[in-house]
Amino acid sequence: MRFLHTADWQLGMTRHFLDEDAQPRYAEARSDAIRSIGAVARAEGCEFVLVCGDVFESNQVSARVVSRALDAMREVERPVYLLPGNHDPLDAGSVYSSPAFTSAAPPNVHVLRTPGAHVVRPGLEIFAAPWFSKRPTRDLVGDAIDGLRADGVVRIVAGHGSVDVLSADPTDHTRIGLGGLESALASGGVHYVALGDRHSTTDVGTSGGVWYPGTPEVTDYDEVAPGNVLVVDVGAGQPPRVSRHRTGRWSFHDLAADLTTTTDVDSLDTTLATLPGKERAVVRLSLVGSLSLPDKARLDGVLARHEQVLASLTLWDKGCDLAVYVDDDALGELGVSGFAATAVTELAGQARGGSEDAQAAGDALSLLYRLSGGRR
Amino acid sequence: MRLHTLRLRHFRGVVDREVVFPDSGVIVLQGANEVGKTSMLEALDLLLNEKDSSTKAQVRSVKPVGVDAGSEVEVELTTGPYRITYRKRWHVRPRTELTVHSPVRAQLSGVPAHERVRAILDETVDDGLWKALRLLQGAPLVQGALTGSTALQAALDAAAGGAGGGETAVTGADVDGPGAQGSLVQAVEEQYSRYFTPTGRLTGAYAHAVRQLTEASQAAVDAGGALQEVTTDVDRHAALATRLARLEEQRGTARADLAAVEVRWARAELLEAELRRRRTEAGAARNAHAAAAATLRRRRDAEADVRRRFDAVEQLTESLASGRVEVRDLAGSVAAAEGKVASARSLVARLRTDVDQSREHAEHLQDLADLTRSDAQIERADAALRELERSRGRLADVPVTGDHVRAIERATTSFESACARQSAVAPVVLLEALGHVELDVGGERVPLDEGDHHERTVTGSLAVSLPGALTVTVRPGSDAEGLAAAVATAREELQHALASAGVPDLAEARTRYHERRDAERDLVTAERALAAALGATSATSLRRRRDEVALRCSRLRADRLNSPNSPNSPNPPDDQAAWRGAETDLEGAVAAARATAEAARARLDDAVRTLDAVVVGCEEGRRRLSARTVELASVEATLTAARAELAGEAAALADTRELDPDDELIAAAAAAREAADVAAEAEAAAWSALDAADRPALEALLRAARAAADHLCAEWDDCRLALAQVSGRLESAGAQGRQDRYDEAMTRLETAQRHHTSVERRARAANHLRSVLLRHRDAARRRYVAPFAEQVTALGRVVFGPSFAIEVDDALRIASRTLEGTTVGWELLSTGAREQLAIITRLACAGLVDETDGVPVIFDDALGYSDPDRLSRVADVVALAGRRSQVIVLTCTPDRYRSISDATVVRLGA
Repeated sequence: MRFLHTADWQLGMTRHFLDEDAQPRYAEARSDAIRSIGAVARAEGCEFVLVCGDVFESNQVSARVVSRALDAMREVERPVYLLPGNHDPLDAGSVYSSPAFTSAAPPNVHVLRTPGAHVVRPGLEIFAAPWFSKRPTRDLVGDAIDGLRADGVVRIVAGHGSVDVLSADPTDHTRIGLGGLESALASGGVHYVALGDRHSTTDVGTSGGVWYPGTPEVTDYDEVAPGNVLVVDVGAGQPPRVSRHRTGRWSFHDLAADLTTTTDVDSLDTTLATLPGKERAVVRLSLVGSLSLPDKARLDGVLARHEQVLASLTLWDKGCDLAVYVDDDALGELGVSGFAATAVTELAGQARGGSEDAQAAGDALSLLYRLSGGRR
Repeated sequence: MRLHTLRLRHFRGVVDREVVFPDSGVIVLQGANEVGKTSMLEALDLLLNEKDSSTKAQVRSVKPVGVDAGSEVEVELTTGPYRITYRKRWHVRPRTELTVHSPVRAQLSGVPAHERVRAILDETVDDGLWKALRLLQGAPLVQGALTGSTALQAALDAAAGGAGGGETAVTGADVDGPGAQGSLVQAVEEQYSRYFTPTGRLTGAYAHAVRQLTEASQAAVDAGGALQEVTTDVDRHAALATRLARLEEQRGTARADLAAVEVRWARAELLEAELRRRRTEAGAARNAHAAAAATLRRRRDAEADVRRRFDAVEQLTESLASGRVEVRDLAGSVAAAEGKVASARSLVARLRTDVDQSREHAEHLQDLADLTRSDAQIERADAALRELERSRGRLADVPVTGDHVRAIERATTSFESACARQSAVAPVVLLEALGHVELDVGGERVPLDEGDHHERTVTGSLAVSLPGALTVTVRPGSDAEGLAAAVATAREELQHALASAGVPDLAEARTRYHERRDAERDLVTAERALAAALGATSATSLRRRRDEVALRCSRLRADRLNSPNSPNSPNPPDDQAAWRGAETDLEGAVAAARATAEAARARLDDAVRTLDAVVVGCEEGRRRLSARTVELASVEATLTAARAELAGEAAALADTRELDPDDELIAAAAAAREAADVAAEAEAAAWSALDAADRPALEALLRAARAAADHLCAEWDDCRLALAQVSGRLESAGAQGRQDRYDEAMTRLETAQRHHTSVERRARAANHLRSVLLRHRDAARRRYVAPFAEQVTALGRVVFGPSFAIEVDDALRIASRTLEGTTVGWELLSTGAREQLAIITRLACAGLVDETDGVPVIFDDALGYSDPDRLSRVADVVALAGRRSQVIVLTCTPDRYRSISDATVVRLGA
C-alpha cells in the first residue's frame, strides 16, 4: 500500500521580509505545492495523501486562503486526510469548523477530527492524534497508540509535534516519545508513524518507520531539507519504504561573506549572480570586514543590482560588521581639499573605529563619495 | 580674470565707447555724472550673464531711446588659461560671438557661445570673489561675503601654512578649481535638507518614513490585538466548555438532591396537616369544656347573686327601721327647740319693753331736770332784765355825759379867763345896796338887800337901772368893749354848754355826770347778770326750749295718767313741783333711771343672744331632720327596688334550675374536661410526630437544595450563554481572516521598518557628514582669519599708521578696529573709516588670492567720505595693490585719485 506523507503546508503563511512583489508569489507557491503534491501522488500511484498537521498557518487564515487550498486539494483526486496540528488545532476557533471550510470542502478531503482509528478501507487505518488546542499537556501520539497490538490491520499513525530525541526542551510534556513509537512499530500494531511539525525532512530514530516529511515549500532560512514530500510503501510484516520527492521551488539562502578587497566584492557579486531560481530566492547576507570607499561604493552597486533580481535580498543586521576606510588614494580620488579633506580624514577615522558613529561615518563617506563622484 | 578691452555700443546713453585696460596698474575711469560709468560694469554683467535673447527688464532697460539699433557689448578678457573675445547684441538682430584665443583657438556663436563662456567662467572665476571685490557707488557699506570665495579660501589656506591638508588642499583647489568645496558643502546641505529642516527637525522622506513606521506599528499592534482576541476567545471557549460540562454534572446531582428532600418535605407536610386537624379538635374540646365550666360557674354566680341581694334587702330593711326612729327623735328635738325659741322671743319682747320704759323714765327725769334748770335760768334772766331796765331808766334820766361835763368845763374856763381879762381891764361896777333895792343890771333884775354888794365888771355897756329911779349905763373903753364881747361870747358858749347839758352850772353837771356813771355801772352789771343767766342762748330760745320740755313733760304726764304704770317701771315723782328745791336729787334720780335702763338693756342683749343660739340649734335640727327624712325615702325606694329584683332573680334561678339541675351541670363539665384532655394528648402526639420530622431543618435543607439547584441552573445558563457568545465571536472572527490581516500588517511594518532603517541610515549619514564638514569648515575659517587679518593689517597700517590693528571674525569680517590703543566696533566706526576699511579689505583679498584666480577690484566712486590726508594714503594702497591686481576705479571727481601713482586715467565722454 502506498500513500503520500506530507505535513506543515502552513497555508496562508506570509514572510514579512518579502516585498510587495515577492509576497504574493510566495503565498501562491504554498498553494501551488498542493498541486505539486497531487501530481506526485498521481504519478506515484499513492492511495491517499496524509497531511500531518499545520495544514494552515493559523486558524485565522482568510476564507480566500481556505477556499484556494480546498480547491487545490480537490485536484489531488485522492483522499486527503488532514490532521489538525498546533497551528490549526481543533479548538473553538478552528478553521476546520469555519463555514469557509465546511461549506467548500470537497468529498475527498477528510479532517481527522477524533483521536484514534480512521478506517481508510477495511484492513487499513489511520490512527490519528489531532490537536485540540495550541497547548496540549501531554504526548497525544503516545496516548493514542497506547495498547495497540498486531491484529492484521495496517495502521498508520498520524501525529504532530516534536519527538523527544529531537527536542531539547525536557519540560515540554507534549513531546512524542520515540521509545513508544518504536516499540509500537516493533510490536506490529503500528506500521508507520507519520509525523508533522519539523520543516526539514527527517528520518527519526533507527526504525525507518518514523518520519517527518518536512514542509513541501521552504519557510525559513534555518530549514535543513525543506521542500520535500514522502511517498511511503507500507504493509504488514515489512518495513516501510520511504522515498523523497521534491516539491519546493523557493529557496532561502543565508549567505556570509568577508569583504576586504575589490575581489571579495566581485566574488560576492558572482555568488549572487549564480544563485538558481533567483526570482524565488530569498537571500540574507551577513557581511563582515572593511572596505575602502570605492569598494564600498562598488558593493552598494552590486547589492542594488541583485536586489532588483532576487525575490529578497536583505542584510542581516546581527550578522553584519562592515567598516569603511579611506586611504590617501581614495581621498585623492574624492578630490577634496582644505577643510573638506580634514573632514574626510576624521570621518575615515570614525569609520575605522568601533564607535557608535562608525556606521554613520562610513555612510557619510559613501555619501561624500557619491556626491563628489556624481560631479565627476 | 583680467579685462583687456570693454566696448559698449548703443548702451543706454553710450553710443560707442571702448576702454582699453592697461596690463598692470590702476585704471581710473573718470567722467561727469550721467556719463555712463556704472553702465560699463552693468554692461559687463549683462554680457556675461544674460543671453542675447533675454527680454528681462534689466536687459530692456539698457536699450537707448529713439535709436533703432541693438545694444552691443564686447569684452576681451583673460580668465584662467583662457583668453577670449566675447560679444553680444540684444534687442535688434541679437547675436553672440565668442572667440577663444588661447589655450586652444576656437570660435563659437549663439547659445553654444554663451554656454561655453558660462562654463569657462564657472571653471575659472570665483563668483563670490568677483562680487565681493566690488565697492559700488551708493551700495551700503556692508562687508562682502568673503567666505563664499574658494579662491580666497585657497589663498588663505595657503597663507595659513597648509594647516589641515597642506599641499593636498592646494592641489585639490588646483584640480577642482575655485568653488569646488563651496558646492560640496552645498551638495551636502542639499542632502541634509532632504531629511532635516534647518532647525534640525525631521522632514521629507525621513519624516515620512518615521510616520509610516509609526502607523505600521500601530496597525500591527491592532492586528496583533485582533488576533490575540481570537486566541483569548479560544482559550475562554475551552475553559467555558469544561466548566459547562462540570456544571451539567453538578446540576444533575443538585436536582436529585432536591427531589429527595422534596419527598421528605411532602411527608412532613402530611404530618403538619394531621397536626392541624388535631389542633382543631383539641381546640374544640377545650372550648366545649370551657363552655360547660362557664355554665356551672354562671349557675353559682346566680346563686351567690340571689344570696347577696337577699342580704341587701335585709340590711336595707334594718336601716329603714333605724332611720325612722332617728327621724322621730329628730322631730321631737326640733319641736323642743322651737318651744325654746318662742320663750326666748317672749323674754326678749318683755325685756325690750322694760328697756323702753326705763329709758323713757330716765328721759322724763332728765326733762324734768332740764325744765327745773331752765326755770331757774329764766328767773335769773328776768331779774337781770329788770335791773337792766332800771339802769337804762336812770341813764335816760341823767343825760349829762362826760362830753357835756368836759364842754362845760372848757366853756367855764374860757369864760372865766375872759372875765379875768375883762376884769383886769374892764371897769368893775360895784353896787352896794343901801337898803333893799331891786335893780335892773343889764336887764337883770338884781334884788339887793341893804349891805349887799353887787359887783359887776362892765364888759360892755351896762345899764344899771333902778327901776323907776335911774338907769346908770356904764360903758367901758374901747378895749373894754372887745373884752366885754369876748366875755359875752364865752358866756354864751357857757350858757349854750350848760343848756345842752340841761344843767345850770358846772357843779350840777358834774354831779349829774357821776350819777350817770353809776347808772352805767349798774347797767353793765345787769347785762352781765343777764348773760350769765342766759348763757349761750338767747332768752327767747331759752324760753322756747323750756316750753318744749314743759310740753313734753306735760304730755308724758298725761300719757302716764292715761296708762297705768308698768310693774317694772320705776315711778319716781314726775311732777316738777315734786322736785322743786331738790335739783340734786333729781340729777341722782336721772342717773339712777339711766343705770336701770342700761341694766335692762344688758339683760335684753343676753336674751337676744340666747334667742339666736336657740334659733340656730332649732334650724340645725330641722335640717338634719329634713336630710334624714330624704335619706329615709331613698332607702325606702331602694329597698322596694331591691325587693323586686330579688324576687326576679330568685324566680329566674328557680326557672334555670328547673331546666338544668345543678348536678347535671356538674357532670357535663366533668365530661367536657375529660374530652379536652384526650384531644390535647392527641395534639401533643401529632406535635411530637412533626418534631420528629424536624421540619425547620427539612425546610432549610429544601431551601438550600433549591437554591443550589437554581444557582447551578443559572450558572449553567450563564455559562452556556457565554459559550454561545464566545462561539459567535469566534465564528465571526473566523470569517475575517485575522491572520491574513495580521500578516499584511506585519509585512507592511517590516517594509516600513526596512524603509525607515534605510532612510534613517541615509539621514544619519547626511547629518553626520554635514556636521563634520561644517565643523571643519568653521575651523578652517578660523584658521584663515590670521593671514587675512595680517594682509588687512599690512595695508591698513599704510593708511592708518603703525598702531592700526583689527579683529576679524570667522566669516572674515572685521569686527573692530584698534587705533592708538582705542578699539572701536565696526558698526560704530565713522562712514569714512568704514569706507577706507572696505577698500583695504578688498585690496587685501585681491592681494591674497592667486593671480590666476584673481578678479578685478572695482571701486565705483568710493572714498567720498575720506579726508585728503587719508585719501592720499588710500591712493598709495590702491597703487600698491594695482601692481599685482587689476584695479578699476570709476569716478566723477578725478582729484580723489590723482595721487595714485602709475594710474592710467581714461576720460569718458558722452
